[in-house]
Amino acid sequence: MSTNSEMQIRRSAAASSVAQSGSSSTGAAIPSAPHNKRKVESILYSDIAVRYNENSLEQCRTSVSALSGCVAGIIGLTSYKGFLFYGFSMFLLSLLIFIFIRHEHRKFFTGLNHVFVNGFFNGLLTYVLFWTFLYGMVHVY
Amino acid sequence: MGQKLLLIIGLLALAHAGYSAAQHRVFVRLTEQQFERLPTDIIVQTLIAFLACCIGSVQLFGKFKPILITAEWQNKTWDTIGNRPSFMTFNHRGRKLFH
Repeated sequence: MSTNSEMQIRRSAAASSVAQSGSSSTGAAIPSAPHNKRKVESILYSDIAVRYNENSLEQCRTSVSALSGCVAGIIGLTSYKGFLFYGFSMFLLSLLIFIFIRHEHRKFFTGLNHVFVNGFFNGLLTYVLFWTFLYGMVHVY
Repeated sequence: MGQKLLLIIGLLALAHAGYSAAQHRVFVRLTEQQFERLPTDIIVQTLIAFLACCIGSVQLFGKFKPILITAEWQNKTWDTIGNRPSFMTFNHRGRKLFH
């Protein structure tokens, strides 16, 4: 959600400073330097594509957090080790995505923060759910 | 197709590892030993299955679109992009002329 609002803020700032052509629903203008905006060419991002990428990243995060919850429950991790394993698996996921799009990550994301940092804790509740469920199924009953 | 197969194999291996772990728990309980830790092969199988599932799901769900708007507009004509329905007007002289 924070990325979307950031995009909105950037777009409104750009729309007030630069006389932007094109309909507002498809274009988001981000000037690289706001002070000498006449000289520097601004980069136009497609709002729909940015949101689509965020969405598929979120899908990856949710599925991998569910899977890592299953793994933590089967192995039988308890207390802080489980949370450490969550951090490890999320980092593994980010690394995998980065390896797959390594040569063209500028083509898909505005920054590497979107892959590595943003939404790191979004799958935590899913993880805890699957962790406790599988731990109970395998080790308790 | 390959990534779907990888995901399915990983899920099956994960389920098998979970079943083995549960059976090991039951075995330990029945023979009245003290449970210390899971056998190494179950842990290794779980981790390998997790890695396979990760790769499969990243390839399955991680489909990204190029965010530059020039890439999106590359196979569109100017008539499509420059179309502004808000500025269309129908109250002009053509109404009188062509009716």
